[in-house]
Amino acid sequence: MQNKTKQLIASKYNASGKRIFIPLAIRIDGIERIIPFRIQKYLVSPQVPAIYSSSSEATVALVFSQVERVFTQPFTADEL
Amino acid sequence: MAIRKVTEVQIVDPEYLDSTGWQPLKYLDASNNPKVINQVVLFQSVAGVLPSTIPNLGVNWANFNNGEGQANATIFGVPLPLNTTDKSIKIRYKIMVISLDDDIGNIHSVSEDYAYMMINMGFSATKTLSGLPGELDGGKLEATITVECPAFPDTPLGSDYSAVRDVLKDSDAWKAKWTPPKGSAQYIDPGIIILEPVKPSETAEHGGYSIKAKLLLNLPVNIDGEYRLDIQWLKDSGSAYTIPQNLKATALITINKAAVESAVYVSGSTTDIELSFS
Repeated sequence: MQNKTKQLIASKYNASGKRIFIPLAIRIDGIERIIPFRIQKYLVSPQVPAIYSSSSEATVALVFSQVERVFTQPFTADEL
Repeated sequence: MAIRKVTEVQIVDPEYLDSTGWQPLKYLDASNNPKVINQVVLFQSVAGVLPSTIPNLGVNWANFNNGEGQANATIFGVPLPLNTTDKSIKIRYKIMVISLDDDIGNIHSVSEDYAYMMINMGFSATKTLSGLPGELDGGKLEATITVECPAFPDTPLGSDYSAVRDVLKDSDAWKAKWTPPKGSAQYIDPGIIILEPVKPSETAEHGGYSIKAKLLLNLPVNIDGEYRLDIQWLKDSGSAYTIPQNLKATALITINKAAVESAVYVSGSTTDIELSFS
């Protein structure tokens, strides 16, 4: 379910105090359907495997990429 | 889906290499007690930015933000194991990016592999460079210059080792500064770089291990006199680092002089002309 740019998702805290996110379901023609919850996250990696610097300073060049994960079952932030 | 923005980039899990293996890097807390570094903050933005707008980030291990309220933390100084005078300190770390999601909140993502860093990279001022002949003749000198560099040992890096070593083999990382007796210096790219196997080193600046990089250089020699060769390492926080040793060679260019017999008498129309060279 999407509210323009915002997706809707339920959440609750389990007995351990960890927040569980629960994708929503809707009933269409009497059949319950899960609404997949999509989330984008950035991955990061260094541009070169090693930096060699003659001082205590170094420039860290990074490469960012974006991946999408789709959840149809409850998940925690640790699984992102 | 809303566009995610990056709010923070950190170095996480930093470790340094000592003689027994990888050890957690520590800093001194406000009470001067050593504490393990959980993160080094490289970038922060409350509102968040797109990754494409994040510039190259810098870290200064003598003055960094530890993300726990200390903006000027250092890994150097008693009672910490590292000092500012230590050379060729080997560090490994991971990178974490934190992005803001409207639905979930902050999303943390940590790079899978370790990245490596050598800081305070040190070279001997007398035993680093070799391979330039003392005397030069004219034309182009094809020289193989050996540069003994501090290096990561292979075993503690495992499968990461060859990629870390091969950064030293990148021809964009080296430059030769060739200064003739008269006129301005020329900056020459090495054609090929060959690495020898890493080995233990007793040179203090190497921090335990060294590797020999052989730079194949074409050096022009056009006039008599003393030439000077400096070698620069370019992948040094965006600036060029000149190795604290140079090589010198003197050119005495040989010019072939020909002498011919002053007169030849022949009965026909053809003759040989004899030349002698000195």
